[in-house]
Amino acid sequence: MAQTDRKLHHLTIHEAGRLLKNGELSPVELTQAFFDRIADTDDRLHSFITLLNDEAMGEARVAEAEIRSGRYRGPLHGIPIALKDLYDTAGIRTTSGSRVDFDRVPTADSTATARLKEAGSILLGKLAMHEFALGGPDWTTPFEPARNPWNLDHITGGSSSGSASAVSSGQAMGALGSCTGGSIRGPASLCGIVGLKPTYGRVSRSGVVTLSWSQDHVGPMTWTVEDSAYMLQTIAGHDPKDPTSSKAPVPDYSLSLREDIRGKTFGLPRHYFFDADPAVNAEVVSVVEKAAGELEKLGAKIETIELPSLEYVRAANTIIMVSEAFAFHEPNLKTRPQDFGEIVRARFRIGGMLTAGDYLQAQRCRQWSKREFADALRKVDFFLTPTMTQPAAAFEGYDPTDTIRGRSFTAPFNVTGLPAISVPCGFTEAGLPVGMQIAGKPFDEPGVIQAAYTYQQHARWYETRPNI
Amino acid sequence: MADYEISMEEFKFMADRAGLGMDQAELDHLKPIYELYMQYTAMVHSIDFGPEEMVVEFHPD
Repeated sequence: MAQTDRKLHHLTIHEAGRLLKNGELSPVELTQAFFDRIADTDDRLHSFITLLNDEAMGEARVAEAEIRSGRYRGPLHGIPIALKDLYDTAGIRTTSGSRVDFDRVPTADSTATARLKEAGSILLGKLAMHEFALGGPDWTTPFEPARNPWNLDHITGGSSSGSASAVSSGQAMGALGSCTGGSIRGPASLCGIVGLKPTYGRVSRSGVVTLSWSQDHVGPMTWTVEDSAYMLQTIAGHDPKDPTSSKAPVPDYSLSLREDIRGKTFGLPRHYFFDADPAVNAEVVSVVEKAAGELEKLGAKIETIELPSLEYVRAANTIIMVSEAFAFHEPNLKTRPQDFGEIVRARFRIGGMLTAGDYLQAQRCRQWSKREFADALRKVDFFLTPTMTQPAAAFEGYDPTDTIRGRSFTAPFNVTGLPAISVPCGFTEAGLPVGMQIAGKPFDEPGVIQAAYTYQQHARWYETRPNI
Repeated sequence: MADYEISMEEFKFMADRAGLGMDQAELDHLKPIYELYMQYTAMVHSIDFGPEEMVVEFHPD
């Protein structure tokens, strides 16, 4: 019954939603197309830890009946999605990519899971991830690392590795990632998709396995900006089960899907993100500079700004992250350390060896950063940066300690809690995707979405799909 | 960034204090990784925050 000449697995949520709403496409046909796509590709990509064929096809039949009888629920009704395997799913194994939780079956859904279900989305399965959302591809965990659809010899980035590979390759229309230092935007950038980390508190963390209470964020990963807006709309909002959940009203993000950035000012902290540094890839910087130039042509103002605290933010992010992670994982780390993979076991142990003084100084550094970023955002509307320092690295020769060294372009917005999106902005000579990061004021997801959408519609990188 | 080193004796003391129960092979594996993290602890201790308070709760706005 497909009413499009494009492959169903390459439709966006926006496109498929329109067809589903009008009865021109069946949720059953659409869901089956995604399972066919997964069967064709996942032996190479390893995006999924758990597939839910029977459950998903059942949900698709329910969605079909509801839509046929006029009970259309909204833009995610009948849309096949997948979840990073740290979102609790009632009755469905949730491993966090670890032997520690290999057989863990939650009795309740995470709030985000429940809200996606309520919206009528179809859960295809649970996705690969770096163990407990930290580190890198680790062959000492029970699960094969996901691979980059643009080049299978390259990593996806992480920790939402399977979320990125699945959406990029057309195995799922959208996915949720989680992000403590860049785990949504990083893999989105390296796999050529959109990743949106909302403001801290915008989306409930309840039922999402903790890495770092004060820095963990929940957010969507999709092929386009509008699809991320639809997913965010569904999962955003206060949740009494999460004490850090904000009571700020949730705006209608679809109103931000307008092409207009005239008069908006983008601040580029060049001293940290753009200027020559051996650890920053010149080709990535060049691609993002070009994208900034395109925004200028569309009527935006580009200004160079200084944020001295940036030099320290990575340190604060890392210290807070592993300290809080140790506190959360301490019992298992002490009683069954052999069940952790090598990378995460080492980092969590280090979290236990840091001092209270280290942690408190990191929190004071965070306050400084937060204040400095807020001051800057009184003069500019957004920050604009490359999302990553490098394109996707090859598996061969990959050193997991590389992620401890050097700069992080994403961590500053976990430390400050500001909303940030990665949107594709081009490719390297080798054909690897490059992402541009746009960050804004607290709870200005509408502004961030509108800026990214305007660029996307102008640049049209979404028309290029990986050949897999 | 500067390189940092810690003696095995001091490192073992810190690991024991944290109750990690690591054997010598594990200590040998972890020590160079910990030394990478020392760049970060040194950085946050190098800042003079003056009398600024430490805010325990985090709110982005």
